[in-house]
Amino acid sequence: MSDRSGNQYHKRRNIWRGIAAGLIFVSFIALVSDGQQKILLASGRIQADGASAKVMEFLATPVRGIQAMFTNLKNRTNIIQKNASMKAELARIRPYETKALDLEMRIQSLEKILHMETSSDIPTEKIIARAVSEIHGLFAYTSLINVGYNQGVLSNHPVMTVDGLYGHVVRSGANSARVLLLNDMNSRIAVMSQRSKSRALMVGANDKRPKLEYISPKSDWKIGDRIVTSGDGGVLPQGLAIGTYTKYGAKKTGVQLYTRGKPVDWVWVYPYKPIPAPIENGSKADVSINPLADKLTQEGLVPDLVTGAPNE
Amino acid sequence: MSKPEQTNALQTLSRAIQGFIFCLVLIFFSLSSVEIFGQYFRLAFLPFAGLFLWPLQASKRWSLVFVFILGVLYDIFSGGPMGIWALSFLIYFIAVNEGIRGIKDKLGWLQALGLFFVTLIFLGAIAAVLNRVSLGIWPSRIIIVNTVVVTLIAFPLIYWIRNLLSFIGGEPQENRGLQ
Repeated sequence: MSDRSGNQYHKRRNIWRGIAAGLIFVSFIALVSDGQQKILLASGRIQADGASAKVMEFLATPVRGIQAMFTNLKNRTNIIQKNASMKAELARIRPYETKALDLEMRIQSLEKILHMETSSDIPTEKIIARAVSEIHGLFAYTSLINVGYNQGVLSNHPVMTVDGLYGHVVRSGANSARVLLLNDMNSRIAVMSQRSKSRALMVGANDKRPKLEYISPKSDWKIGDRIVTSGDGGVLPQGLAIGTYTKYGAKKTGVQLYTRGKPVDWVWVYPYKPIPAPIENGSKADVSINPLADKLTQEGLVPDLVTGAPNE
Repeated sequence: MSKPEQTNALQTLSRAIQGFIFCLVLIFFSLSSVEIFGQYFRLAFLPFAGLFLWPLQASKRWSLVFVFILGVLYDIFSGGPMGIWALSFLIYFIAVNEGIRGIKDKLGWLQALGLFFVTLIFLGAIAAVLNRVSLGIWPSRIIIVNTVVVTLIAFPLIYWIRNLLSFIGGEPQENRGLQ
C-alpha cells in the first residue's frame, strides 16, 4: 500500500517537474526570439492593450490624483520665488517681442518675393488622449493611451505633451495605442540642434537620459543646445521640441527631456503623414510636395523627371 | 478518482485560482509608475508579493500553469519583450515555493517581510540577468533598488489585504496569511 502511494507521489512529482521544465523552456525560447518586442503575439498584444487600457483608465484616476497633489504642493511652496523669477524673465524678454515681430514681418515679405514653401511639417490637427498607464520599468519604457485607429491614430504618429515630445505610437488598436517613450532602448529619433542644425540620432538607453549617437566630428553641438526632431527619414515632422543637451557626471552627456519630472496625464497625437516616396513605375514622379518645383516644371524651366526631356 | 479525491482536487484548484486573481489585480496596479517630485516610484515587483503569498494548499500543477499565464499577461500588458516576466515569474515561484515551503507557514508578518526582502534580492539578480540576455544591457542598479524598496513598502498592505480576503473567505485563523 505504502509502495503504491510512494510511487504515485514520485509520479506526480515527475509530472510537476516536467511541466515546470516545459514552461521554463517555452518562456526562454519566447524571450530569445522576441528581443525586438515585435514578433510574438502581435495581434494578441493589440487586443490586450485595449483591455488593459479600460482597466487602467479606471485605476489611473487615484494615482493621477496623488501625483497632482504633490505637484501642486511643490508649486505652492515655490510660488513667491517663482513669481519673482518670472517677472524678471518677462522684463528681460519684452524688448525681444518687438524685434521678433519686426523680423517676422521681414521674413514674410522675403518669403512672398521668393515664392517659398512656408508650411510647417507639423500637422494642425491634434488627437487628444489620456495616458492611462505609464511604465518606467526594468525592461521597457512605454505608455498606453486611450485612443486608437478608430480615432485616426496609427503607428509612428508622434505623441506630445505640453512640454514636448513624449514618444511615438508603436501599436494601434481600435481604441487604444501603445506609445514607445523616448527613454526606451528601442527608441531611435532623428534630431538636430536648433541652434546649429547639427544632426544626430537620439537613442534611448532604458535610463532617464537618452544619448546622442552618430554625431559627425565636424558637427557643432554645445551643452545647453535645444534639441528638436530633424524630420530626417520622414517618420516624424521637423521641429518637435524634445529637450536640452546636458552634461552629467564626470564626462557623460545626454538629453534632458522636457517631459521628465512632470506627471503626464493628457497628451495629444499628431496624425502626421510622412512625405510619400517618388513613384517609380514609369509615370511622372510625384513632386507635388514642392509647389515651386511644380510651377517650374509647368513653366518648362526644368526637364521632365522621368523622361529627361524638356517639359513643354 | 474517488469522490474525496475529486473534492480535494477541486479545492486545491480553487486555491490556485484565488492566487491567480490576486496576482492579476497586483499586475494591473504595477502597470503604473507613480511620479512624485520628479522621482519615479516603480511598482514592477508588486505581483511578486502575490506569488510570495501564493496559497500553500493550491494545486501545484495548476499553480505552475497559472503563474506562467500571469507572466505572459504581464509581458503583454507591460509592452516589454515576450517571455521575460513569464520566465521571472516561473523561476521565482519555483524557488520560493519549493525552497522555503517548509518554513513559510510558520512566519508572522514581520518575518515574512524579512524573507520577502531576501527573495526580492534574488529576484533583482534574475531580472538583471534576463535583461542582459534579452536586451543586451545590464539594467540600472538604481532602478532595481528603487523597485525593491517600493515593493517592500507596499508589502505589509498586500499582506494585510491577503489576510483580510482569507478572513472574508471564511478561512480559520491558522490557515490565513501564507496558507
